[in-house]
Amino acid sequence: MTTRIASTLRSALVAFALGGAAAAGAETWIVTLVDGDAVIIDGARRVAAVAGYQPGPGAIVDTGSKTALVRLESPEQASIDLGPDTKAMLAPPGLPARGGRAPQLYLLQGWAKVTGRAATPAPGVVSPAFEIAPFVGAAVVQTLRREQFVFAESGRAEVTERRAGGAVHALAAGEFLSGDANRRGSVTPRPAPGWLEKVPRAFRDPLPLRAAALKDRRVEPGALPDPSYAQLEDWLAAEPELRRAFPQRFLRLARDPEFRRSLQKKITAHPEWGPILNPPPKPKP
Amino acid sequence: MKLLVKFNLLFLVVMLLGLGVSSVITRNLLQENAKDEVRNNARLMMEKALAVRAYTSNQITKLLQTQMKYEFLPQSVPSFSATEVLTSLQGKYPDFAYKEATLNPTNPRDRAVGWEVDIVQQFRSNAELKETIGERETPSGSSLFVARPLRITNPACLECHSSVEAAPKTLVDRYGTANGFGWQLNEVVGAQIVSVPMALPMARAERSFRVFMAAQVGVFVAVGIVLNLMIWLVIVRPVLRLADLADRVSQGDLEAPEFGGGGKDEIGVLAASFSRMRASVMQAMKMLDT
Repeated sequence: MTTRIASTLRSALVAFALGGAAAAGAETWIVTLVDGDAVIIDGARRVAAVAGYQPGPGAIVDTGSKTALVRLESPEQASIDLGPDTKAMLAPPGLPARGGRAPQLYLLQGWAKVTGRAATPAPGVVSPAFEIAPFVGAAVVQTLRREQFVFAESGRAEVTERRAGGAVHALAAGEFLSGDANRRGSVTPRPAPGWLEKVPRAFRDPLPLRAAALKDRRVEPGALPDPSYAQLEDWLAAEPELRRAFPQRFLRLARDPEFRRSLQKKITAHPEWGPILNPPPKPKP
Repeated sequence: MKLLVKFNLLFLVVMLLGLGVSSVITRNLLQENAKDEVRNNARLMMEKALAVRAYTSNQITKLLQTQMKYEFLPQSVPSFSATEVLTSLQGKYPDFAYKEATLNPTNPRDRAVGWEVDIVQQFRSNAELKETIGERETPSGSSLFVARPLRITNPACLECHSSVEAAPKTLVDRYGTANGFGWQLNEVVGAQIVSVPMALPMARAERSFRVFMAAQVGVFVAVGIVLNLMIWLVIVRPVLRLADLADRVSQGDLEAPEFGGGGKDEIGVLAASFSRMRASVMQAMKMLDT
């Protein structure tokens, strides 16, 4: 009993600490534009993305294959644009800050464009292979299963390879970095042929900012059924720093028998769920 | 020679003289008006081109800046916009043309050819020349052109046209490195040339001239006929009647009737004088008989 309580307390403290750390580094983001289908998993609830909604730190944004653009803006006029077939997390907890600012976006899959305006730097972005520190300018990031790409649209982006011993690349405007988690990235003066054509069209338009007009609007996004295991599977199997807070965050979902069964079946992908699924036996008095 | 013949000869000479002078004056006036119309059309087209350039430069280019980092969009270039808009007119008005003829263009379609090179060189060698107007023959007839120099006065133009290294990479991707570089500030790199057809306005002027001259001839002929009729009725016929009466009286026919056409005009005066002379002759002859 004492061991179980201690374990639970420890998990709660870690989650609290991480949540606190996330909250300390997290910036406020507001959805300002939704062109197509997009879902936000905020905490453990799943809602339809709608302009005016302010997701909390750690919120997961999923876009559909036909989604043209989902935009989030900060009050300081920085923006995050997400393209089709994209899975991204806002203000991901557990990731270290660079240059005094925690990264504001984790791109697990798909397309993202981060832009800073005036004196506000573009938000930092982390992908499985790269990390872009906040910088003044704009960059487009694409994450595929095996490869990732960074295009410095404007400004000078500092991109760090996240693998052990990884290099730091300073991309000038127009330069292109490609690579994956296992090999050194390759910088070229121009993007790979044909890559520019794949960049979502909406990333190329200078859309007006809308955060100021939307920030005071109370928006109730349409509630959707709770996320299933399949919808969360990629995140549940993501890198450990991201997963650490998931057991506490999605504890309610684990009460669903189907969800629980799936967790159990793939426990090796997310071992941190072990104590939740198979709590240690109560010590005999 | 009869009076009417003399009159008609004189009338014909005067008519031909009058027609000749008026035809020269009218033709010159109509042709000059036609040329003015053509020049105004050309200048209107030129101003349209300038308006499109300004609109593109002031409103469109900045909207496409982000897109240009991915793909060079010629729609952001003022000269492209002007050329596209005015070229679209050619669908309906094939003889109207606009070209920004350039010696070293980025877009090959703008390269100056033949007579266009001469015009550009004219502007390059004379900095004071702001516009030149000329005529040339084309397969579809005479054409008037208005040309103005394209001088690089805005340093922003050199962002794309100074060197390959300075130009946007997307521009080089699209057009290559061989053309459209090496331009200098204040250099005349080309000429805006508007060509408008002269055939139609000149044909209209010619038609107007013919109609006018035909009308003049018609009026002259009608006036001639009326004058002939008047002269016959008012002068020639009464005079012939008076002459006939005078002949009869001179041959002793004192029973010849009195001339009945008495009026207050000169023929009436002549008739009255004839009657008085006839009465005097008859009185004299009676005195001789007694």
